[in-house]
Amino acid sequence: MSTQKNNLDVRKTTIDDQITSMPMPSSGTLLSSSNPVEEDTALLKETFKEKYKWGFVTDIEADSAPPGLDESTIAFISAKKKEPQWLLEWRLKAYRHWLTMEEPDWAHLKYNKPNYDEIIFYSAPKSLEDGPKSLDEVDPALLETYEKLGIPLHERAALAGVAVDAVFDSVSVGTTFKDKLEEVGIIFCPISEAVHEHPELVKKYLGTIVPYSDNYYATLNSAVFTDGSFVYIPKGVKCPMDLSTYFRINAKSTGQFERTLIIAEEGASVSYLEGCTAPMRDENQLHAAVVELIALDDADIKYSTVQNWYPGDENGVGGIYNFVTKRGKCQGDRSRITWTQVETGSAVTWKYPSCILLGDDSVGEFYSVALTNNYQQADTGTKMIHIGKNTRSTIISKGISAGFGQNIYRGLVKIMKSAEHARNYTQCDSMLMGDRCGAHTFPYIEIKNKTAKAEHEASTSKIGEDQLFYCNSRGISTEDSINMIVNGFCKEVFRELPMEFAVEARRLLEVSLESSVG
Amino acid sequence: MNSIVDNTIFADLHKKEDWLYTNVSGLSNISFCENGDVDPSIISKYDIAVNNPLVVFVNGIYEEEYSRLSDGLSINDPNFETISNRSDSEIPVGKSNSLSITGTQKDTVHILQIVSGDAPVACFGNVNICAQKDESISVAETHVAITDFDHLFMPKTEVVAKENSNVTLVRAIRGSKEAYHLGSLHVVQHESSKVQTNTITLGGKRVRNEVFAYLDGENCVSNFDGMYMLGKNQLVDNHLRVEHNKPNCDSREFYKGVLDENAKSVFTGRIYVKEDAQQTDAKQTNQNILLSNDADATSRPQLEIYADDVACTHGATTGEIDDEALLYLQTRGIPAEAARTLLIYAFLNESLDELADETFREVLVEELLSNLPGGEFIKALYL
Amino acid sequence: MTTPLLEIKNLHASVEGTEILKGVNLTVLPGEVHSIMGPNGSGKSTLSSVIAGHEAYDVTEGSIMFNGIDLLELEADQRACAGVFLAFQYPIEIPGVSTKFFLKAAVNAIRKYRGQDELDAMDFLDLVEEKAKSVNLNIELLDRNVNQGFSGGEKKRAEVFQMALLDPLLGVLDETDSGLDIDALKIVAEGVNKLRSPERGFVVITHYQRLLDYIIPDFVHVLMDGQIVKSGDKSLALVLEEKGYAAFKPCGCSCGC
Repeated sequence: MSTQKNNLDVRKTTIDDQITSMPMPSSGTLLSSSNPVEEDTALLKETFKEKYKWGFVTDIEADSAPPGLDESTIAFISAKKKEPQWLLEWRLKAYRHWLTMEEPDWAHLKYNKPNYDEIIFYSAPKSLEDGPKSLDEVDPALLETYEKLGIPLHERAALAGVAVDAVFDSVSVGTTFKDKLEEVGIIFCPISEAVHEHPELVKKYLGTIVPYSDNYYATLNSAVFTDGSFVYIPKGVKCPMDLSTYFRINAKSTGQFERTLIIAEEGASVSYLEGCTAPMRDENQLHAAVVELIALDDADIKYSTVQNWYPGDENGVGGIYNFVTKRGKCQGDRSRITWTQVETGSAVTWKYPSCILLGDDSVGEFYSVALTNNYQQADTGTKMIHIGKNTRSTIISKGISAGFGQNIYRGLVKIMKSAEHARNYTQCDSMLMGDRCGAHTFPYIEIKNKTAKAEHEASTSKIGEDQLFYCNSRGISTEDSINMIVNGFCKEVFRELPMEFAVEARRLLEVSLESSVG
Repeated sequence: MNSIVDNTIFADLHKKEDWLYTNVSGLSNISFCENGDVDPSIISKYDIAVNNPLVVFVNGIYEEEYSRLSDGLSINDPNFETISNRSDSEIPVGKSNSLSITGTQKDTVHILQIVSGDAPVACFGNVNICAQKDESISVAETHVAITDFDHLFMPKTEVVAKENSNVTLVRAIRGSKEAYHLGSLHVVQHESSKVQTNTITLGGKRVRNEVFAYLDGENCVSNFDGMYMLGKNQLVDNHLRVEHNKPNCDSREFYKGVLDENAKSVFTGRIYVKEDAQQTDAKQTNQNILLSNDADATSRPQLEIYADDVACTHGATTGEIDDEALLYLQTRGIPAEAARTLLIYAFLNESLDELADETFREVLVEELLSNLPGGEFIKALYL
Repeated sequence: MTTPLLEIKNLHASVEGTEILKGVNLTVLPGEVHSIMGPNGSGKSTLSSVIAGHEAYDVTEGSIMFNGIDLLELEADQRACAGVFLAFQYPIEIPGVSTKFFLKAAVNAIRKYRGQDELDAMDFLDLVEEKAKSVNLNIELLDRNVNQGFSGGEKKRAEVFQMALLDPLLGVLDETDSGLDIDALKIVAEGVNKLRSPERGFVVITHYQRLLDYIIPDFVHVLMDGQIVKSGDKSLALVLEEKGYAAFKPCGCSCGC
């Protein structure tokens, strides 16, 4: 172990030396383009040296449940949210089921399982005790937190064209552009609010895509979920702006268990983005979310994630356990669900955003970039379940491993007997940087219809020394060259992200790769 | 509990990840006997290469009367080099007469393993092949179950390929479509050795073909190929693990099959590349054609890679016959049904083409055509 | 006295322990074109890679001075910024990276090094168009990924185009003629000739005399077994063409020993 650490230190020193001694292009060298499309491949130099800069803690008075989980904890959460009886009962049913389950160990992951007796299952800033207020009344410390994270919540300063729901530990801080969305009938609010304001919708859909008994972490989430977003797009409405939720874990020892539910009625469409960060701590914190999507006839849901939970330090100490269940159902004919994810954070990731393709001619897509550096591990992929006729799915997965990181693609393509003429195309590419990391691919392809066609391709590569030399010989530094080549490798996925997110994703990738360049 | 084999282990095997799609729990309820009779005419029927060495086992027992041993072949040799058990195979290992093969074998050594009896028989097979430095060995195993009982055959073959040696092995599962066949092949390769295996499944009700290969020397070449043509109630589970433990080795897994009626195939191939096994070149392919909507194909082509300078690819395709090719043949005057048969045959024959031994190839093509719907048409083309 | 553009003294270089260059001496003054000719395996490409700074080659002895600075002290990208350009014999493909972006990164890195302002998108495109015209390069190629899907001729032309764009002091052409038909060769040579100037020097590495009909060298050197065994003016190339390399073997005979 000590040798490994030394190696890392030596490596880092070398990079520092290089950076100070070499004539480097200054910040924004490659961004001086006036054409935004050009920025598609831009390097964001200034952040190259950055550490995990989202690792600060907001000092705020919090109202927390005592650590550990029993029925009284659940009653506590439910009471805090002033929930109706049916929801409390649903939570308790999930909890009782959870007690009978075992934590799964089939993933290709090595970690110490969370001690559920030590986790705080509910923590909220005191000032939000009575639920989300209008943004003008929110504690300035909270607003400042989001300002620092680059997510200004005041609508004057807010990101143009993006409505944001900001979730801080267990509660929503506030939601921007709510009124504007309401004008076209779109509901975008914290799920705890939807329980009160739109009980019929919540009751109708909650747990229908991911049942309370689905899996260990989803069942836990069903018992203790706190906040998250609720989105309802009425029939025929194209959501006029991107909707976004920003998740922030702040309090020590807490777990975050958010739950998101998105419903797109016939002909509706929406693009939803989520981002996440957490402070740097030596402990492993648990994040076990559930996301459910429903797309009716001709509806279109695009769900993009830039996951940047604290990954732990360079020796693998601390970091978030990101154990998430995300599933969408293309219930209607010609509906489409697209998952795009850029996973650069978390110590351990266990996540398989999936599509159930029930409607005829429905489409499921999964685009993923997962990067594991230092001692990060990610076991991630998707499930595409083809039930309807002429259903199509595409899976593009790009895994990058560096340092001692382990990157696993795990994906299921299941074509049922009823799925006449279903099509799947899967491409899984891995890139290894360094000789102590791992890249693994575990696809499951189950075909039960003879008219179906499934193709799976996978490849593994490293950044070629000849590629680096070629870039060097054109005056481009090694660091810039690596960033450029990695960006090229991920291009097919970045192309699927909304603009601001694509830029953010690229920047994260560069920061995350920093210590692997040697 | 059974005296021959502890068949209670089969009850829950399919709950394990490695057996997820293959349920052999039916075996746990069968009361097996150890031996049965065989009609000698069966042996001559399957003795397809009368000029080659032949080793016959009936229910795991060596039949001296029918066998033709060559130099380098020995029965029950206690001193023969075997592989210490490195795999995590769940298939029971048991006693039977064993065959050891060493020394260059230019003429393919034919091993005929017959399982037969008037009640369900359970038995084992043990074949140990060791190619010493620079030796070259060719072996073909034919596994046949006779009659319609739920026989259970568990053949285990070991291959040790020493420096610069060359081993070719064909394993063909033929005969009854009622028997259980749980076979395993264990391969250890030393520097610059070459191993080519073909596993061909035409018979059997539940067939599991395991391959565990350990590339322990540099510059090894390993080809693990397989082919299957299955019909009603048949299942084949090809399960491979190829470990690249040293740099500069090339391995290939290439499995293709055609599934008719409610046949089912499972392919699980794991390429494992150890740290520092640089310059590994590993390829893995599984292709299936489904002829019926009751057929079912599952592929799990898996890569587990801990070295960075490697070229590993895997691919899996499942689907129907290529419409374009079908149309092309039709525009040349071939009726649709015949064209379909021709294309299926072409798809499968590609893997048989590579068989070094002509005699075995012809026999397998013949049996393939008998299994193939419309295969008579192709046979007619041959005449 | 003029500072030599390139001054190689007693250069020894090896790859994986095998010595390829065994004491090369070469001086290139501004404005000069030097041709290095030699049979396969003589060390021609090694020489170009060592000048450009390929890490696979270890310089075990000797020095390379470039415009008064020690080139061996610089990384490959710093050498490019300082004004050394290598046209590759086999240009490398980089999937997913568009040529335009790649070049913009290079141009601005080099301008930065030279203390010039970075080019904005408009100026960059103008420059690219101008230079592309000079070598008859189809500008649409620049929207493709670096060297991906380029024909052999397009790759070589793209290399010369890059040289024009990056405006080096020293151009090293590594068998730029290989794999080109006569028309493509002329276009490439013309592109190079346009870049000749009193300040700029060239090292043209080639196996055949053919290229030198179009790029007339001031000096020709014969490289054999890691050493320059003979130097002369352009007529030396014709002697080579006529007598073959065997005539220049150390024993002086043409026995093929």
